[in-house]
Amino acid sequence: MRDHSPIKIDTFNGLWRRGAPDDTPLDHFQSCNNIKFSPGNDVLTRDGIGISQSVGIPLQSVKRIYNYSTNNGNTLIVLTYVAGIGRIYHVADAATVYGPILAITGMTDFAFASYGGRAYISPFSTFLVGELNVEKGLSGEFLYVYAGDGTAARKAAGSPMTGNMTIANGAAGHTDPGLHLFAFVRETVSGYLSAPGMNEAFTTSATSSVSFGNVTASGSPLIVKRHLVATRALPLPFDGDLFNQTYYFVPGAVINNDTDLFLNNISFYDADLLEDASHLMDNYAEIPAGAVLCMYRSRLVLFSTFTDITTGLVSAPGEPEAISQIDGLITFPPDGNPVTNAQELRDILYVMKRSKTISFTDTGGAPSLWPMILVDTALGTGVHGIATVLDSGGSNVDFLIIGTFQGVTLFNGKYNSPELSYKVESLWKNLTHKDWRLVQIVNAPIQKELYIILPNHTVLKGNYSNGMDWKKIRWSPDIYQMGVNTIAIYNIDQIIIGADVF
Amino acid sequence: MGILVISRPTSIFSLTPATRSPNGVADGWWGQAGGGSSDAALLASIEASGVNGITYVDNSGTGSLTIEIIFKWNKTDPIFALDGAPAISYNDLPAGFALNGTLIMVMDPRENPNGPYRATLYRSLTQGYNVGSEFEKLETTGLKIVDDDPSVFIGAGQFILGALSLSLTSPIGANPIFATISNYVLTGLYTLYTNDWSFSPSSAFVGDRITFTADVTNPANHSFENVDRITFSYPTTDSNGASIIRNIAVYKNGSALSNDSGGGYPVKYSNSSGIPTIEPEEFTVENGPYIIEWGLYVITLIIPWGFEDYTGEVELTGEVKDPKGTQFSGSVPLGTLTISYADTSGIYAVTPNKTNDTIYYRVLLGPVDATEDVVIPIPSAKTGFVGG
Repeated sequence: MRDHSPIKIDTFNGLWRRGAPDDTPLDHFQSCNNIKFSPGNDVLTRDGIGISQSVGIPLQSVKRIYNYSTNNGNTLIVLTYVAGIGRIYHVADAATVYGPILAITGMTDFAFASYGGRAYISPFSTFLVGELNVEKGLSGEFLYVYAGDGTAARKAAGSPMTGNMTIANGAAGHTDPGLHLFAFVRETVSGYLSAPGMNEAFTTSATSSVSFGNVTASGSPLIVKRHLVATRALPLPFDGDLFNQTYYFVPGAVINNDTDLFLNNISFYDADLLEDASHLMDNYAEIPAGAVLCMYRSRLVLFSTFTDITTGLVSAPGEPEAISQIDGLITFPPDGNPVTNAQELRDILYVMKRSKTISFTDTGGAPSLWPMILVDTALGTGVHGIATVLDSGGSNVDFLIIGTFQGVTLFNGKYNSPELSYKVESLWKNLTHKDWRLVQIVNAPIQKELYIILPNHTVLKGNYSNGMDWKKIRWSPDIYQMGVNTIAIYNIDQIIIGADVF
Repeated sequence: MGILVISRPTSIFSLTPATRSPNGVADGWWGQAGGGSSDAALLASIEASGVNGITYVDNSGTGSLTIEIIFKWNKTDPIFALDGAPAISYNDLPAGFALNGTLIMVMDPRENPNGPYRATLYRSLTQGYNVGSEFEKLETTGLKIVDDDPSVFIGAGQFILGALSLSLTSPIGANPIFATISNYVLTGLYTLYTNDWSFSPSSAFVGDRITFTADVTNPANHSFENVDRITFSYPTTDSNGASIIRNIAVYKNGSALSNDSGGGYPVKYSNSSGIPTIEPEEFTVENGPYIIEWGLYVITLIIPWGFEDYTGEVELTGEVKDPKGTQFSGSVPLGTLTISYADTSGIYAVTPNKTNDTIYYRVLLGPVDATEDVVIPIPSAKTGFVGG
């Protein structure tokens, strides 16, 4: 032993699963389970888990959890799946569960985006197309909006009003005399404006206001206003087309409920008609369900519907339910693969398939005119493969963390190499691509850890308290006595795990 | 250890069970195949007229082609001749049967002049002549018994022995027009794993510990030395309602695997060269927290999850890996374990500095909010090789 040189191991840098076990560096583990790293160099048993709900009937068979920020707090929105029916609940806190706010047969997953305190929910599932597992919206299903108050989610957008209203001269007032077309636009509780409906023609007189009767009312609390819209005086002879005309909102002509059947004594001049309502006629009355939802510059973006896996639907700014069927569309060049994810970074919309990435830039014009740039022809991700950060979408500081087939990769406009998961490449490459939909990544900046749900229903943690690069990140798997499906962060730093029956 | 001979199937592609000709010819040929000569019916089926091989036509123009062969039989077909005894079926194989390696023998074409086609293997430089021996030994890599991979090609009650991959090259540099293999026989060695293995308890919940013990006080018994994995099998249905067997295997090397058999789901097939290959859908669990101890005489496991809401009997088998290092080739029934269902699904919160897991533990007809404190499964870390 005289010439023996002791080997001192005083740092532990996590799992090394790259190449043969013999290749494991001395300061790494060739295997490890259920451990955590202290801020120093200590290795400890991972933190235990406890139940998250204090209710008599806790949720079971959890498929998906999203963090949902309402106007009043940080909450969770949870999908369970039992006996073929997916049910979505709103877990406001440990003791309060609303719902199900939505129940749909075959909804094994859902896409989610929140805006203005409301939750936008799109049911989707996985379909076998050829030999590919394709995530896309459910057939015959739609985008839903949830108000966050425990009431049931309702179908987003809405149909125009129907019926035959009566129009007559009202009390003394004023209009530009001539043939005008009138219609009403519904406004929902979420601010959506329907296409004009109940269109009628009427010849106004210069000295009279206009009154409207038999205005259709449903009594629904979801309809908060009905706006009068009108054309300017039309040239004669009139061709009888009530729809392909330019309608404008009539200032101040609003019924502030959905019960009154009349709107009387409206006076206006054609010069007052400035706010165009014609574009409302191009909007989807029902928005088909998709597998991808995100917000981009206050616009809702939806991809991968049941019938079209490459065309994206983009709403008007600030109006998530107003999506034009004419120019609200953007297209990922079709190649047989579905769009799987979309995320904003530095004012650019990045759209991914499982192995391709492109970008769109909002130029201020119609989405259909946005320029498209091919970013990467080999790398993309799955439907939950972009790391979410607290309650924001995916960007953290100035980058995204994306789970590609290559590895867990930093993305700042390009995929950085080597990837963060360099040290566990063999483990990562062993994951089954066909189940990539199950890969979900959450970034917990407070803990300085990445939590990755793997297709085998275990959790791979990446501790980056020593730095977020492939050398310094420390990987370790966590395994529980149940299969883990989903993960979320709640109230800044509370890690929430959802488990199903396996 | 013994010698095994297996008859060739009539049709490799057909779902039709292999048929056996009752009137064989030239027993002598197959007496040299290694112990099968006493099985006249077996030999007859091999040499029966009208039984031809498979022909592959290469249009690639590359001058070579690779073929894959999957040998398939009904589990009730008597095809295994062990040590010259009359052939028995797969179902009648003795417990602990393990295949220690196989090889395929192909007749010399000059020696089979009576077939409708000359027994021919166009392979390498043989080209139907210039074969110096009666039989040619072909590669046997990957040849193993498989009975847990369902497919449209393997009906209920069937199994396969495969797959065998052959590379064929034109002898004169030109494109091979075709390659035909006929009149071949499979032969090999087998081992019977006599044992006195037991386990306890006989009923448990998922997550409980189960201990297997090998009694080797009798020198004829085997230890767990060559047991490669322990498989938990239970009946369930797939997403289409078809009956399947779900197998959850814990491997000696620490990984775990689940796959389904007995139905069409969720097995996937590729079909290169028109030959089905089998890729059962499976998931693996890295780093085996389920293994507490895997020794020569004692194996202690945590019963893995994967049983969904199943309550009932689970068949346990120990899968034996050939000590020579070739592929797995046998299984030993261990007995029946009764699994009780406990639903552990729900929403959990990671609790800093908590030293155990508290999980939902809903048993049949029990309260829906029942919980149980359990240990964190086997926290462990293993460094790289020191001084290796």
